[in-house]
Amino acid sequence: MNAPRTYDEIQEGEELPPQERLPTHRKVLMFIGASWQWVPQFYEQATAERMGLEGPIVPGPARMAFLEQFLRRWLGGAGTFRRIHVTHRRPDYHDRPITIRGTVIRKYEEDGGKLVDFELWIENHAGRPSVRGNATVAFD
Amino acid sequence: MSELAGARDGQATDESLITPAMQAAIGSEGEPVRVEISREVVRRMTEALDEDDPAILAAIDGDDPHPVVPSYALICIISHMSEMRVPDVPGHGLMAADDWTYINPVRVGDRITVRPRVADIQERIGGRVGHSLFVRHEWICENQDGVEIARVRRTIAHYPERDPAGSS
Repeated sequence: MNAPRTYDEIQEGEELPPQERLPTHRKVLMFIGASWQWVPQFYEQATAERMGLEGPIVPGPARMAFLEQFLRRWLGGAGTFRRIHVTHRRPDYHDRPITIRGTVIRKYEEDGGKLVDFELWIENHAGRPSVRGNATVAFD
Repeated sequence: MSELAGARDGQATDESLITPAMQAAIGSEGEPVRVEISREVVRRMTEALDEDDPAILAAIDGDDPHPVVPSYALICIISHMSEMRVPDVPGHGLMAADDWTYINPVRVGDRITVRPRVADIQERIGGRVGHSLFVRHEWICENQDGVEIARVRRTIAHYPERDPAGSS
């Protein structure tokens, strides 16, 4: 974890250091069990293949959680998440590494609050974007 | 483009996949879904996600009976159970987009009520995966005091399963 960042320290255009992550089969199963998302394509090879996928995929909510964790770590726990929006462009598969990246898009004040917009994305093992999104964080 | 981009080409057809029952489902509201934010489930979630934020871990294991939980816990806990079934839509789908607006914090012990609605169904013909349906769900989430905590828009892409023989 970084030290908590203040609104004033954050610079528009700033790139967040990328983070590599390996969503292992075991961790994905732990996630499915904890969230009770027994969706067959998340853990069953045959179902995944019938859907035209190479194998079981990492659940979308887990990928959103990866993005939030990535940003929270960079913020050092500062700020409050107001919004996160993602589009799922490609599947990520179990046991294949991913890279999480982000950029500061905009700082602004609105209705008396200080807000920062970030662009966030995940690259799959082949370096292609699998998730693209953005998040808005509020500061006191 | 969606998660479907990783799937092999589906079987394209010019015939609409939207049935009268699907059309009638647009705008319909489902039964409210109720779920409690349990400390144990949040703890398991943090383990599955390799959470390393000391403040979050201390809160989950601390003495406060109602600590604020990370916002992703709400996403993960209510995600699957809140999706309404739409008649005639192919059973399997993949998430295409998710949009969460957090309005108030969620705490351990909160009893969340999710009010689901089918907002829209759109059809796409062609593209990488052939003929597919995009169902947009909307949820309003409130806590036990009737305080709104989040609004969600989720789009699920549905497309027919492939021939089990795997012809392509």
